[in-house]
Amino acid sequence: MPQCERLLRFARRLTSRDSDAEDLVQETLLKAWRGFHQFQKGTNVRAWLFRILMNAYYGRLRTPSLFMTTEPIETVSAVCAAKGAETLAVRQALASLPEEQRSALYLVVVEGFTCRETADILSVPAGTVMSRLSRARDAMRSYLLHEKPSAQGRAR
Amino acid sequence: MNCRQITELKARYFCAELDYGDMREFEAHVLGCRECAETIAEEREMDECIRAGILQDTPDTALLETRVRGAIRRQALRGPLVGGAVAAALVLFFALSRPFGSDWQNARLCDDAAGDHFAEIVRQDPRHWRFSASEIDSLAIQQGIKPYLLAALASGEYRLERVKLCRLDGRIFLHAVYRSGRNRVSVYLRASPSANSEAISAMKRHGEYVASLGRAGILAIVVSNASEQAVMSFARSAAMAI
Repeated sequence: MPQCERLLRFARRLTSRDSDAEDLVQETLLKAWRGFHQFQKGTNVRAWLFRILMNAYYGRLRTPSLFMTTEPIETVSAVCAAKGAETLAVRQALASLPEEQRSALYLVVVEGFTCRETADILSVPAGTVMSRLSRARDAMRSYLLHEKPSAQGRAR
Repeated sequence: MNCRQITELKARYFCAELDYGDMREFEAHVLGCRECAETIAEEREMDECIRAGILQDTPDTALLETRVRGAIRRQALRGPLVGGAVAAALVLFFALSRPFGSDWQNARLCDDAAGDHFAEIVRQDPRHWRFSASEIDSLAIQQGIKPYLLAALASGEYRLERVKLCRLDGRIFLHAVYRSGRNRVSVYLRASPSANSEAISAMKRHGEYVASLGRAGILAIVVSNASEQAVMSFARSAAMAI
């Protein structure tokens, strides 16, 4: 399941607990399997899966009991901490962004989706994606210039 | 263009969504404006840091995949699909979920690559190419590709000539052109963490010879109108370099 890792990595950036992220990916893949007849061959299957994941996430937000909290908490493993404070700072900075900015920045920068594809996944206009990207980059820059995160422990 | 327009358009610039005219105006302004040049360089660097920082997170999905397969199987058994039909549906679903490797998707990428090579290299349609080492490096970094890889891909007498961004099957690729005398080979590169396979597939599309491969998280499509042997030789050499 080659897309599983990508979906889980993104889900971890949306939810506060790994178990929530795994539930979200499971729900995504089940919905994709059930709705596979709706997928149009020749279109981007990865964008289709990410859109299902975002819709599942929004659905879960409407049922608060399904998530302990919607605030992301970046758990930093000892391995990650050992890889240097720069990586840690980037993850912490990303985790500090509001969800809408974090998702837009993640989908464009990490997953390589275009603004239009990202707009489709997030169900917002392309202009909204661009303004979210701009605000996200400003916030990341400000965080990385002014924050001095610790080398271990939790980011927030 | 002025600085305010650069700020408004830079997100589309980073996604390679600007058309040729806007891209030229955008880069002309950035070349002459120190403040905008610094902003663009800083954001490129930050994007690379974000990508590198996040891709170090490689979650173990084995248990989750088992859970998902089990859930699908249980649901399928409750529905109209039974026995072999369940297995067939699972195979079909997960095969089409592959980011690269399924025949139809690979064929679309190769189709687009052959068409792009014919239009831009054989027919020489005007495009905004990067020739300088610094521009080529920054474009490669922006796409998550190590700049030294571009030089390492050069096979035999071929030398890296120019680079630009293009879109194949809706995805952004780095298009590098290698030249040896009058012969030119196009290599389309994209960082793709799941691109890992020993196989190199070759085909002929739109009169062009095309080979595709995925190694160490890099997806590469090699195109030339010279011969199948030339393309396969370049592709094998590229696979070793990657």
